[in-house]
Amino acid sequence: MTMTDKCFLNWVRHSFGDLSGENHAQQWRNFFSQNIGMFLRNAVMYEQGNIDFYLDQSVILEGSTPFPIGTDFIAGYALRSKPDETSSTRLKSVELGDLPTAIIIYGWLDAGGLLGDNLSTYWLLIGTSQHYLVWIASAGIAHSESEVKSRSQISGLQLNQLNPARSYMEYGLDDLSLVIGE
Amino acid sequence: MIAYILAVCFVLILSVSPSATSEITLDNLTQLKIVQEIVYKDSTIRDIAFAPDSNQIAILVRSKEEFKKLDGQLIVFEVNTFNVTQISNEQLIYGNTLAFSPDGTYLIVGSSDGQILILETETFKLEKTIEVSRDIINNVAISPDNRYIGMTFAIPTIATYDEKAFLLLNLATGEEILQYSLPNFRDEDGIYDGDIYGGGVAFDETENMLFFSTVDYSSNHGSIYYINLLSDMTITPLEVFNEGWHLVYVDKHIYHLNEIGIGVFSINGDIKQEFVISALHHKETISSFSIHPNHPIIAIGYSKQILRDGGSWETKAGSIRFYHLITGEELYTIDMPDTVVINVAFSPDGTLLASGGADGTVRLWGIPAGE
Repeated sequence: MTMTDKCFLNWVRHSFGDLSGENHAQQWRNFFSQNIGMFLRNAVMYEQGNIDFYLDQSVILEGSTPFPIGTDFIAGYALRSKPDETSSTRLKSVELGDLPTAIIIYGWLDAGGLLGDNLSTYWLLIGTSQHYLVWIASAGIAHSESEVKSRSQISGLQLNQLNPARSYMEYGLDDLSLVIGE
Repeated sequence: MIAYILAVCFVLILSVSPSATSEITLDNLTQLKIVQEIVYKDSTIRDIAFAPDSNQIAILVRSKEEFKKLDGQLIVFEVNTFNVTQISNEQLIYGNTLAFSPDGTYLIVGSSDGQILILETETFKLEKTIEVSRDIINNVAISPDNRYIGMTFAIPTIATYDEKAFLLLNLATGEEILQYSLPNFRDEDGIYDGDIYGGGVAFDETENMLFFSTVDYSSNHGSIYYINLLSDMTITPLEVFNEGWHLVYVDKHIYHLNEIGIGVFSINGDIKQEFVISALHHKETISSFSIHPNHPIIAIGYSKQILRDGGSWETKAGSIRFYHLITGEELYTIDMPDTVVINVAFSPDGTLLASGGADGTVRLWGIPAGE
């Protein structure tokens, strides 16, 4: 065990104060299953993208047919971390990379009315070249609506499980909920 | 192309066009009938505009399946003869909004990739293309003297291509006259960090005034601005609202889509809000509206959520509602259970209402003349 490991474990142990017995054990379990586990999970997701993770977790459901493919991204449309039209959800392309020529569509979600482009009625959950899941208004890429909608809409439960892709690699206060989980 | 033309299906429901006769009573709304339907399979009707003489309708169609394979999506439809002109041009693929000039000599298309296309209306030949941005052009208008083109933009880009919410061009030269972007939307790195949607743009009939609207999705504030084209062209904010969207000018009034319905402003020396037509309905959002040219009636198009099998809601239906412009009273509703209504437009002679839907269908509604 290295000095760094000991320091880390001491920090963890002391972070639980004077707790003992089952309370102490539960805190340890929570720490590994939620806090540090979520941290490691998200650290990997930042490095590797989050598509494979959500496929493994069955948050994104593959089904019996291949995911639909979209093409011809319209430059004026934003890629977003959440299916929500506020500026805080808008991602910057520098970190996310360009979209591939064939854009895999992993799911769709009704927009609850027409979006700001006065054309899109649903969101598409798509993959970037760097394997991040992002959202785009439905009119932002060419795709087959019937093919996309032959699959089930993303459920509220699935939506809650999808931690948003972030546009920056540096962690800040805003990222706390993402790093340790919601 | 041939397949596309073949996919266009005309369904003539009545062979007689409504005539422009005397008074149209409010009761006539209950007798509205579809006089013609134009169906574009697997497509969405993006925008509709009547020519000033009401004899033609220009339609922007966007395929929902494979729009890249189409080499043009602007269709001009003769109201009386049902003849269709398909204008083929690769640059029209991303057509998003269109407008005739008030004298009918030009048809202008604004695209989702920031291009203005100017067509003359004798043969609908493309005269000029002006690349003004890489953002979505939301709305265009031409001044009555054909001197200016005004346009608004949506700015939700991934790469911050541009930051204009409004632009005024010289139509003849393409030269930029004036632009507007909201201040204070740069982050610490100097990168533009706002989501500003340009709403409507309109000139008044005197060629003196220009109006446009914006909505800022960071704060949900909507604004109206006006420019006196004869003075120093200062852009003056009129008012800020909770949310806001499209704007239309008709006969000394501005009509502005806001968070509860349509705000009605009078322009008589100063500009002031007279009242708001409360037009919101549960699980419905307003997509567009049009003012009848001769009568105090506003037609409003809606999208509507319906419950799918499995319990989830989907935006898949719509409606057209008619309100009295003075009393604000809801007069009549046409339910459209199978399509979102994206556009509504009265013909300038007041005899027709066109509606365009997410089902790829343009419907022409005849407005029966009164006694």
